[in-house]
Amino acid sequence: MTNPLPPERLRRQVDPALLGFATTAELGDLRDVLGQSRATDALRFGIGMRRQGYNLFVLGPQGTGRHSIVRQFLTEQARGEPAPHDWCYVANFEQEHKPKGLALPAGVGVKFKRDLEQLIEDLGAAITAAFESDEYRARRQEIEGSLKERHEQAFTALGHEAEEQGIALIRTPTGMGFAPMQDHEVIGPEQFHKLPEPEQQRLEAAVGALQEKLEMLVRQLPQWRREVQQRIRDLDREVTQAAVEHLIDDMRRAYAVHPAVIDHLAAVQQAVVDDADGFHHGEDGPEAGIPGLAAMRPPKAALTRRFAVNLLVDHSDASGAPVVYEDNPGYQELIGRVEHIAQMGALVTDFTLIKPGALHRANGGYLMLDAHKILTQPFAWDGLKRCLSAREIRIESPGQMLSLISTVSLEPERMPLDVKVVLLGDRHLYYLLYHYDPDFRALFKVAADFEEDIPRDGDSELAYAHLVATLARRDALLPFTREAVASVIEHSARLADDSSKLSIAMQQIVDVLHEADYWARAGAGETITAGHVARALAARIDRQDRIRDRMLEQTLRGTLLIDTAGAKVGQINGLSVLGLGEFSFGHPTRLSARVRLGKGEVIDIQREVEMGGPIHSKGVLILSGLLAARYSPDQPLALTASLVFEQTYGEIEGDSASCAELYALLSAIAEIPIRQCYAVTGSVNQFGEVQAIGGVNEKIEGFFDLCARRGLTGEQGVLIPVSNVAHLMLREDVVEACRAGRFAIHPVTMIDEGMELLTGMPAGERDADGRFPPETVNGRVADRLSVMLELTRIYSAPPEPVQVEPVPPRDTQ
Amino acid sequence: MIPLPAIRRILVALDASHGGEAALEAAALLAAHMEVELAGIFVENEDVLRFAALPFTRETGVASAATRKTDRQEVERLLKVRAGLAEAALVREAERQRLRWSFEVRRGRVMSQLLADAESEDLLALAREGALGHGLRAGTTVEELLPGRAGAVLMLPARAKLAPPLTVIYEESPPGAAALTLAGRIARGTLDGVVRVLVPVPPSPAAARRIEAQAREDLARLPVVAEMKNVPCAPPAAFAAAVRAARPGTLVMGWNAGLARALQSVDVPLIVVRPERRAHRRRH
Repeated sequence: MTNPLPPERLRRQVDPALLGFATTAELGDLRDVLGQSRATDALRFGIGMRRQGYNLFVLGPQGTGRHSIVRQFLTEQARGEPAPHDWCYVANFEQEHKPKGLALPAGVGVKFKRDLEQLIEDLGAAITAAFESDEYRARRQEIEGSLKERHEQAFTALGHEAEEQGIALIRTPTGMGFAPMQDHEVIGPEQFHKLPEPEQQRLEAAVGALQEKLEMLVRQLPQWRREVQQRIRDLDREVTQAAVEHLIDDMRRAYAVHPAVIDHLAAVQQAVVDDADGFHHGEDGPEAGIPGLAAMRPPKAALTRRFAVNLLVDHSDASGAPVVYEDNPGYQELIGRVEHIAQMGALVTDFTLIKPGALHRANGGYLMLDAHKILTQPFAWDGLKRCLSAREIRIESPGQMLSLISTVSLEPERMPLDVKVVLLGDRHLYYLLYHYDPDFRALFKVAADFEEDIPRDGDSELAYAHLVATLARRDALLPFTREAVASVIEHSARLADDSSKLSIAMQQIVDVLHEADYWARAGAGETITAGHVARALAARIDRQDRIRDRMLEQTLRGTLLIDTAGAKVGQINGLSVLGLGEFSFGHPTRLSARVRLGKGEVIDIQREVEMGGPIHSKGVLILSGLLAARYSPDQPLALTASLVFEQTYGEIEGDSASCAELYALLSAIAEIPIRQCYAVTGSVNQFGEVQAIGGVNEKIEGFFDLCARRGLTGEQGVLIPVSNVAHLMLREDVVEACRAGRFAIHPVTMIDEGMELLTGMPAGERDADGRFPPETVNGRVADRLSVMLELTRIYSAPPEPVQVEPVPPRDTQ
Repeated sequence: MIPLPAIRRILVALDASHGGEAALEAAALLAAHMEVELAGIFVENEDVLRFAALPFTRETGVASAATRKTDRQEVERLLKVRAGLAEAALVREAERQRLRWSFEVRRGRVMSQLLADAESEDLLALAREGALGHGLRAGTTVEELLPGRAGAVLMLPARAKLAPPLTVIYEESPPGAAALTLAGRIARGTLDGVVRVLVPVPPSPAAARRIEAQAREDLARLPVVAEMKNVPCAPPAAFAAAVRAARPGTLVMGWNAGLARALQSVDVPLIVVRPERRAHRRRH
């Protein structure tokens, strides 16, 4: 029979005196990351490794502080690195739909943008002045006048030639022609026919010849017009060239060390000269001039846009490499987009409407992304992988990427990409991606796995105290007394579900610290004491334990049937854990077993009605194997047993009740009552060894709470696997009850130990003949199974033939 | 200052061409300002009709350079269509400016018909390059119109509009004074209220000073802001260049055949004024 555990093994407490300080105000900040050496080493390696594909995936549960740790690491690293280049888009005057990208040293981009804006403004003024000069106007008027003069001369000459022959040049609504004149008037048909025949023929021939000349003349008009247009264009270019050259030369000298700028300035100069007409007229629209010379000209705003600089990435204020966290990693938020504006009912765009994405901003530095978010955004994951593989950012819409849209749009020059991407996500995401996405393996070669807990010893407890001090200072909390720190450390071990570990689920710890601070300030305290921590923890539970209270109430009222005293055959108290968000609690559940003659089946009623999970079913099937091998290795098992969790209305999962089920089954077979003052948890293997389970603290406390409400008798207790003893971090009140002998925790290694405790009868071991002693649990089980086998044989034997005597026939009358 | 003959009607020559529309718009603007009737006249050119009726005549399209046979009926139909378009444009413009209006279709030679219809109290407005054969050159038109009548003529180059600055060519003569008076009347409301005055001065400094003094005296009586500038009166090319350099929006001048000919090369609206009778200038 096992002995109950001593109180000191039920909760590993921190001795405040050993912490060596009065309050956390005396402690310095924690310099290193607590307990994450594996992850931080991986981070250092991943950040330092500057080869392709060495991006990082930071895995681990939320709340471990991985986000702030990663950001801190990246920021420190980035601080020592140079600020990357600025990136601008400028017009490509040769291929308007392919804007050119310019990479300029950090801070030069914004200056270049300003200087070019100023240059364009100056050019506008200089060109306008040049075009408004008397010289230009005179030369232009001379050119235009020459066309008019040429027209007039040609038509006048033709008119005179006609006039000399008595013929007039006539303009009609639709053209021009010639007609004979008489007394300054055109001859009518009657008059014409009255003329002598030779005169008629002469006039007709002359009109025909003149008409041919007119036709030739009219055919020459477009050519004359083109010549004049060309002369005006040449004049405009000459005037513009003279006006812009010195201004652009000034800027060329200022940017002599930036070849890309020099090239662009040359292109600007060429474009300005080619488009001098647009600069000259701007918003004023075309002047009245020779018909046909006034072509469509862009408005002034459009001209300004054409020569603008779209400074996509500006690092003028940067003090190192960028560290960017994109909270909304959609496709366009990542790789940028080309926006459109509505003009006259159509959507139009140009290079000034190119907007950067997170990759642009982080280029040359580090980009942090949440794996779950990017995986749930359409096309974002594929877009990111494509950029990382190609090492360049290609801005295109999802429609372009999928080749769904073939309309003309911008194709901005691709930006070379040199970025370290850090994905943060849960472990299952990492393993899923690793398994199913070959690209992921090639692109994210470094995994930084964050721990949820750290080993607990004196050093780690002290480090934890420093962590509390650091957090208190960072968040402007009151100082924690050493007793309060001890409580926090113990709570941390409870969160880790292990007395030898400390949880580093920072979010939960930080919440407790904040709430303790609240209670301390509410009580006008100057420090946070253990009482404030306890109150914070109690209040947290109190806010969430309505369901637990309701279940306890139902049990006390007898609605849920749980015995905590007496003894019964085939009935035992199992323990289960219910999780409600952050809060989980244990509660006893009655398990019952019944047996009858049968063919060796153990029927799990939960499984039969599909209310049992696979792990639970596995546990029950192990029982069949154990029962047969232990008690009836050479003979058939002649029973059918049924097992059920009483009064459960939802799915049961887990094998932590398999021990209790076995105890109930043995009790039912051997017809030995089980003491109801105990509750049992633990799983069992086919050799009868009791194995560890989860949630041991909650389970014990669940049964304790029921017993405490009914009144602790000193007999009540819980049987737990011995391998779970290290996980015990029980509540103070439970520990106190155990210390006072009013409750007990029994560690169990084998099921025989548990049966002895539960029945008060020895378990019994096989003797030299392989038989169990008669008045032991195992002996009674073996005997009952033998009896059942015998009965089965009897019932299954064929019936003996019955001799039937012939009956004499009755007399009939 | 010579009083301007009372202008009771703006008579605009219409031909449904672009130039005619510009003339109509300018005429309507003047009519609205002067609160007078807008009268449109469309002349079916008799010469064109006869030309079309001849059996051997052809016409060549200016845009297409294609030569085709003429047909009188077709030309008559085209002229009717054009007259209808011209009337519609006149009505539209008159309603926009809330004007009294009238419209007449005449048949005859264009200049003769315009001179016949125009009265001395009409301001005749026409495009400098019309489509109906009334001259290819501005000088020709002016020379044809003004020697034969008193009053005022507005001639608009293609696509031109009445625009500021209103610029007067001032001359020490009754027509020059009348031009100044008309400019003052137009400038008060229709344009920007400013009159620029260009004074063609002879090379002789004494003569120049005298003319300048007279101009100042006349300008002082104008009810609008006036700015004065001297320009050389000869040779004609220098005069025209000086006028162009002043960048006039609309020119007003008294009848002077020489100066008018010189202004052929300045592509702005031009109003030429000729008073009904010669008056003797008072000398101080």
